[in-house]
Formats: sequence, structure tokens, C-alpha cells
Amino acid sequence: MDCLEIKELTVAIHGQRILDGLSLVVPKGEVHAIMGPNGSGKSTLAKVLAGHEDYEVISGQVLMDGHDLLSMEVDERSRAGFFLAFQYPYEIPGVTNANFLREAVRARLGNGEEIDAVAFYKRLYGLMDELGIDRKFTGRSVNEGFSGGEKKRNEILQMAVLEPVYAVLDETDSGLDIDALRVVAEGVNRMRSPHRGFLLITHYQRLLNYIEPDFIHVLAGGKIVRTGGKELALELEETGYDWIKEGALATA
Amino acid sequence: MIPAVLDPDSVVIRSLPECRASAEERFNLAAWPTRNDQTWRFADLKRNTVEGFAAAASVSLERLGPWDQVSRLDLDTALQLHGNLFGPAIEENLGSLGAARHLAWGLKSENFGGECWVIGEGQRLETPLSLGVRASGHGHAAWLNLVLVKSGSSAIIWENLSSATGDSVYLVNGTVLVVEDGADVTFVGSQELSGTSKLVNCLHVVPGAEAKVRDIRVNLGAEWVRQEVSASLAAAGAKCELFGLSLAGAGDEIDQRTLQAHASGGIYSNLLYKNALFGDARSIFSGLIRVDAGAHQTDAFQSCRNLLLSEDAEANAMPGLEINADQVRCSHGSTCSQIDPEEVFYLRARGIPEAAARHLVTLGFAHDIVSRVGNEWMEEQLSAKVEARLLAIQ
Repeated sequence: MDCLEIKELTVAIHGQRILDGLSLVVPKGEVHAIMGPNGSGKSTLAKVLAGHEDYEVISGQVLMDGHDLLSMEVDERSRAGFFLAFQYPYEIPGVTNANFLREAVRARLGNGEEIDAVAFYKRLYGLMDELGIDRKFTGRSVNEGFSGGEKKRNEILQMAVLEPVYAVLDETDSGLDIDALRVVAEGVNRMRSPHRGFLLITHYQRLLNYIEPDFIHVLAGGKIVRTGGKELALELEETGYDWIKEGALATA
Repeated sequence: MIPAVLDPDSVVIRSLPECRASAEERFNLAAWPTRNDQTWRFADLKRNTVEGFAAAASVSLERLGPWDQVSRLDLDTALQLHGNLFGPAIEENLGSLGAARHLAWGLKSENFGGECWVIGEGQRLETPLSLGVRASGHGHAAWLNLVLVKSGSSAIIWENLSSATGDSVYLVNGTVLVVEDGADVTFVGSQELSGTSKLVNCLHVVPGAEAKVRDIRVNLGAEWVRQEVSASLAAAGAKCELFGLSLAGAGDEIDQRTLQAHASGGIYSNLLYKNALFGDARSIFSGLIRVDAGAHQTDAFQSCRNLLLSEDAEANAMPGLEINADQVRCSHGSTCSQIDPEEVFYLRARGIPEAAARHLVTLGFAHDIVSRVGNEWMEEQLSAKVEARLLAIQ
């Protein structure tokens, strides 16, 4: 029950099958990493879990603590405790970061409840300080004019504010220099808890030096082809992904 | 064709009666616009009629300002003292983009009023000068604001036109803004007329050498708006920015015509008008950047952006360039788009319900213009009005 459970998930976009019977279980308290070559379906998995409408679920199921995630609306999933850190966060001109986060927090309140503005800002500023985000970013439009690193930090800030139960981080390490990577990784590590599960999607092993996963899965051809401990990442770093392609071809 | 600016010396207006007599003459010479009129292209000509508004609406003024830093003149005194500044603008520029007869009708009408505000040399206004005009009842009213900002001054001026829900007014408003050398002015011309009201609103701006003028039009009401904004750009080193935000609902038509007239070189002007259209609202934008011969090193931009929030909304844009000089940097463009579904997806992925996400994106679209005011109190006031308007029409 206490897990994010993906069962035999098959997904297509524009009629083309990207995920092909993918199964994976992320229990609370664990950090799982999905690695795989470009085009293996990593980002598709992230978008489908978040509920992007371009993707068509052909078969399979996703249960979040036993609840059917795929039958929920996009915003409902988030309020229920799901979070996706976007690979390419969108820019929302004219909407300040503070307003955006306040709206997201307000959406979680019950009828008649109001945000305690003082407490909200106190908490927000504290989290921003931890992530090394300048406080003046609260007044700036969401992601507009942000550098790649600033956008990724902003995703982690949103995660910290919203405190999800399951968080999927889609290539959060891409485009980050080593200092930014460390800050982002520390942000994630601070949030590790027995009550929270993480799924890190990454192409490179580098991120896993900073966020140590409990399990690593290799995604290829739309399904998990191998699962192992953190030593698998080092092996992939050595061998690359070519063996998967050959292997996949050999079994096809 | 748009008439050129007259030689100031040839203008004989030196009193209010002269001003109104000359308006009467112009009214008699002009005709109401017809289908063949290029300056009324795309406009619904049935809507601009003054018929049914013969009675006088009552006008009250809502003012707030640093009174020890500004002086008020009645129109007659203002024309006697500054007829050479304001006369040509009233006679030749206000209404010159098509609404000349509407303007003249207003100026000659028995329910005409106005005043002149002078901000003395080197004055830096500590608080915004707020000049509100509120029309009530059912009928017409006409108002003229003449503003003279003397050299080296800085000011934020807010002209807000309003009428109560349930009232129907036909308001003709003219504003002439003369900004002397080195002065820095932000002028906000907003309107929140009732949904059955009509508005003809003309602004003429004359920036002096090295002056900075920023005009921000904000349309939050009225079923029909004809708005004309012209800028005489002839003084060296002037900078002129023209912003606009219109939020239109079902049945509304917002008709905006603009002219950036670069008469000499080395002047910067930039126009950005944004419209958010709900229901079957229509927008019309016709803008011209005119660069006269010899106005080299002109730097001029113009852009109109329409956000269509319904299948039935309609945007018509006619950006234009007329360049008669070399070595200029001019560009124009217009866009017409719907809310980006990816932006909505992103907001929803943070738990914000779809309707609230769309509302937030639209507010963001509007905030881009409101945030140009540069005064916290006014931006808060305008943001509240913008939010209320969006909730009312979406």
C-alpha cells in the first residue's frame, strides 16, 4: 500500500508506443533511480505520471498508496501528494514565484481556510536560503529569464514547499554545474524521509554521487531491463548503454 | 491622410470660447465615419452613434494629489497662457486618427468641462496626481484634461474614468500631455465605465528634449471604446513608451488607433498594447510609426498582442510603418494566441485547478503592463481592478 506502484504500463504518443509494459515499485522511504539511453522512455514516464494529455495510456495501472493515479486530474494528483520536477520547467510571464507558490498552497487548503501569509513567507524564505535562491526571486515571474540552474533550483524549492509523498525528478541534473548540482542534491537529501519516496530519472551517473539511491533500474525499449544496487550506476558509467541496445536487439 | 502638426504661430486659439467655436466649425465640416473610411476599418460603425445620449450625464471629480506641488488652471486661463502649446494639439491632433467629429461633438457640447494641470519646473511629485472623472446617469459628457509638466520635473499622473453599474454614459475624453525638456512622466489613463457605456478617448503626447514619457492605457469597462493615442516626436533625445492593456468581455469592442510620429532623428519610441478577449469581444488595433524625411537614427517599435480566451473572440491588427529616412531601426508586429496549454499543465502539476491556472496565466498577461507603472500603491490599485474585471468577464 505505502508505495508508488507502476503495473504493466503501456503508453503511446501520436500512435507510437513508448512505454511497453513497464513495472516498478517505489516504496516510501526509498530512493530509486531510472537510468537509460536517450529515447528509452524516461521522460515519457515522468509526463504520464504527472498526467500530460498528449500521452495515451493503452494499458496498465499506477497506484499511489493504493489510489488509482491515472484516473485523477493533473492538479488532483499534485494535491494527493505526487510531484514532478520538470526537465524543462515552463516560464509563466507576469506570475510571480510567490503568487504561484501561494496559489499552489492555497489549492491544498480546505473550504474557508486561508493562508497565514506571515508564516508562509517565513517558511518560503527559509527554504530559499537553504537552496541558495536569492529572496528577490519571489517577486520575479516564474522561471522567466532564469538560468538553467536557477530553474532547476526553483523546481526543488517548489518540491520543498509542497512536501509531496512521491517525487519524480526528471533529469534534474542536466544543465547544472557542479556547485548547482550539489545544492540541488542537498535539497533532495534534506527531504529524504521514511514518509516519502523518490524516483530520479537521469541519463548520467553523476547525480547519483550526490544522491545515493537504494535501487537503480535500467530502462530500455519502454521497460525495465535490469535492476540493481548503486554499483549498477558505476557499471553503466564504464560500459555505456550500448550493451542494452545489442541485448535488446538479440532478444527481439 | 493624417494631417501634419500645424505651425504653432498660425493657431489663433487664445480662449475657451474660441476653442469651442472652432470645434463647432470642425463638427459641421466633418461627417460621421462611413464604411469607406480607412481610419474606421474593421470598426462596427453602428456602435459609435451618439444617438440616445443627448441628455447630459452628471460629472463629478475624484482627485487626490500633492496639491502644494501642482497648480490647477481653468481651461480659459490655460488657453490664454499656453494657447500655443495646447491649441494645435486640441485643434489638430486630438481625434486626428479618425474620431475628429466625435471629439468636436464633445468639445462643443453643453455638457463639456475640463481643466489644466501644471507641474512647475524641477518639481518631483512625491505622490501620484490622481484625476478621476466619474459620469453618472444616462447621457453624454465630455472632458478635456490639459497637462503641462515643466522642465526637469517628474510625476506619475493617473486619469481614471468611471461610471456606476446601471448607468449608461457616452463619454468623450481628450487629454493633451506636454512634457518639457528633461522631465520624466508616467501617465496612466484607465477607464472602468459601466458595461453599457461608450467611450471616445484621445490622447496627444508631446515630449520635449531628453524627456521621458510613459503612457499606460488600461481599459476595464465600456461596451465600446474608441481610443486614439498620438505622439509628436520632434525633440532631440526624447523617449516615449506607450503601453496598453484592455480586458474585454462578451459584446465589447475595443478600437485602438495609434501614431508614433517621428519628425526628427535620434528619438526612441516603443508601443506595446495587450488585449485579453473573452466571449465574442473584438479588438481592433491600427498603429502607425511614421518617420519623416531626415529623422535618422530613429529607434521605434510597435507590437500588439492579443490573448483570445474564447473561440468567438476576434482580434484585428493593422500595424504599419511609413519610413522616409535612412539608418533607422523600426519594427512592428502583432500576435494573436490562446493560453499556452503547457503553461496551464505546469501550474496544474502543482495542484492549482484548471480554472485558477487559466486565471493566473491571464493575470500574468495583464500584470506585464500594470507592472510598468513603477509605483507600488498604483500597481496595487490597478491589479485589484484588473483582477475584479477578469473575474467579472471570464
